[in-house]
Amino acid sequence: MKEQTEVGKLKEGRYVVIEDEPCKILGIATSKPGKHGAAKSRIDAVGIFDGVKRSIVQPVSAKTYVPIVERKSGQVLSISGTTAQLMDMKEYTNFEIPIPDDIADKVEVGKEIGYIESLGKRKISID
Amino acid sequence: MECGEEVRHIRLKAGMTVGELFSEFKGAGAYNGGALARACDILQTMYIDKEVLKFFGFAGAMVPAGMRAIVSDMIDKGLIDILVSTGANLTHDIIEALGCHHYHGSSCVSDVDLRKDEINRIYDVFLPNDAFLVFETFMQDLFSSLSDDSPYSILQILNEIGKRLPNGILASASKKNIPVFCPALSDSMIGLQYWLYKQAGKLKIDAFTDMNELLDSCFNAKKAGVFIIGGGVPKNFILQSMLMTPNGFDYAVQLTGDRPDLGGLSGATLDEARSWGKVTPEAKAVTVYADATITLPLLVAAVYERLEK
Repeated sequence: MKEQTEVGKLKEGRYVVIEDEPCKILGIATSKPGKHGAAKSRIDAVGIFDGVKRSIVQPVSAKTYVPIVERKSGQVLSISGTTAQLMDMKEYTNFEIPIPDDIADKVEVGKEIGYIESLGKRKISID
Repeated sequence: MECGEEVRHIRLKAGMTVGELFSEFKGAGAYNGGALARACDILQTMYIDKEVLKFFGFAGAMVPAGMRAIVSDMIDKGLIDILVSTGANLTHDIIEALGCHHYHGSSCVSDVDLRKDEINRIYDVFLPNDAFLVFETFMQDLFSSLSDDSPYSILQILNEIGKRLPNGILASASKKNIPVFCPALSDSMIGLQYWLYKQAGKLKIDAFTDMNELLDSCFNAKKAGVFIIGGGVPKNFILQSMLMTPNGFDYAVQLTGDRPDLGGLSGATLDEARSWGKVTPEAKAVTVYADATITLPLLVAAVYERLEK
């Protein structure tokens, strides 16, 4: 799910879709209008799910998309290697999700764990 | 050493034609007045000779200085077979075609104040920023109207632009099917707009495909002639084009303000080009050292008068 907005309305720390990936905005640099045309913003961002740095330059009036990023929680039904089977606490949907190495110890069967979901992708996130 | 003809002193009168003035230049025959007169003779011969592949090199801020229609008219009259230009001249050509204007300004102003007023200065010509907003809209619309299936060459992109403009250099070239080469297109606002388009779009432009068409024309040419304004990328691109062929340039006229001893190509002599084999040993070549906004209009006007006879 994504909402249309204008590049000029984006904010640092919020989200934007770049190359179909939901990204968190790390910085925005805006130029005044000039020989290059209308005012433009350079958005530096990092993919929420793949950690890939991406940047894009667009006029401030250009249309862009903000991904809906939801924080949800799920119960760990089972663990198999580095993958856990979760059940969402509100929707009761079951799905697999990779376990990040750095918090593997916090993922236990029967416990609830937080995750973020955006544009059909999910990632365990405990903060 | 033998002396040539006597220096014939120039006589002027009201209502002289440009052609008559050039005859006076020829009689005096000295310095750049003399060179200008010789340039007229060379161009006349070059344009009458049906076997010549006629190049025109266009560098320097010429369009902002009012030189645009000279080039588009020459294209319309069939005096240019191949145009090689800087991206800047084409950018300014597009801006004028879109209905924006360059204005008389001044070279003695506060440039910092100009920035506040959003006016760009090219010596004593002013160009308000608004022109670039109009230009940006046109370029983004153009790029998005092109297919991203296969890459475009720069010749093709410039032709697509020309097709969509009502007048000017690119419009005339497109109508007359004259190729416009711009090897350093990325070094211009056209290039910057393409980069901007590529942020979100997929259009591909290949900068090297054009060399095939250029070299084919050069190999097929029996003779070659060049009329260059300034130096830079257009001058080198044109002069290097004949190198792979057995021939060089048979006719060359260069209008420049630069000097041979400063290292710039705009100052390099056409004789120096003979050492490279770019200009033939027997070629008729001359450089006129002066502001091209004076010499180009005078020279072309004189050539038109000659060609009409």
